[in-house]
Amino acid sequence: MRDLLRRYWRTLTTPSKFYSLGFLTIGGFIGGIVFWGGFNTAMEFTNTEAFCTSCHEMRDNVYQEIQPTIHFTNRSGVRAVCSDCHVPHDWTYKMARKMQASKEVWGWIFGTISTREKFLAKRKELAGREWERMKANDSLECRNCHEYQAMDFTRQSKRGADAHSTALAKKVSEGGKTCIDCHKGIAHRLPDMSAQ
Amino acid sequence: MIQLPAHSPEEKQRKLEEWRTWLFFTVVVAPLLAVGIVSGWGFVVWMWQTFVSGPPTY
Repeated sequence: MRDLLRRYWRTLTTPSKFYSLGFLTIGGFIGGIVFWGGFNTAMEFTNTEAFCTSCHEMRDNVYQEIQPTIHFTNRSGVRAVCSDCHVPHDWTYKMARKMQASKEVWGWIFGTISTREKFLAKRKELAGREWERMKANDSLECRNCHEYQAMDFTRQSKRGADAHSTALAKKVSEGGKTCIDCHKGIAHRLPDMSAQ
Repeated sequence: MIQLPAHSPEEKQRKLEEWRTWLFFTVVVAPLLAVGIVSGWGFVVWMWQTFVSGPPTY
């Protein structure tokens, strides 16, 4: 066994005797392309609605709740799927979020929110994490589609226009507000907010 | 020319080992290494966010 390993190690670290440099570089390059394609395909697949709702925890709770909302179906046929709001689009943060999902696999194995009751009991903690995240990034996932500069206040209700034209005009650090400060519970139902 | 012919049994063995080594590293080792490095980086950023920096700001 040691001998075998040593032999293959020597093969790896010395120039090839029978295969040309061209074959080895182009072959490795093609391998890299195939890998890159596969990697991105896997990344995209784990961002799909079908993937998220393949677990009953998501399908029976939050997925049911988003369906009557405007983010699921609307006159122009644009849908915000799970990952549009819940997976960062920036590459590094996206990888961090994908690794974070290992904790969701953990929760799935041990049934942390395996029943409606367990989910409802934990939902405030779970929602709170998302609110905190969106507060920190100035509601980036809202703003990926909804742009303040493009808002036509004359097409908004008076209440909306009043709030948007004042609260959103300033940065949060200067006393302004960010989307999630007011728009909680728009795509899924709110947790029970009474218990503190 | 992509490959040279092997004549003696030793050469045939050496050629086979070169082919196997190339295939193993291209198909198994390099992809695993790439996935490992990316996962590791993601994990480090996740832990950093959890214990040090808090969620990302823009």
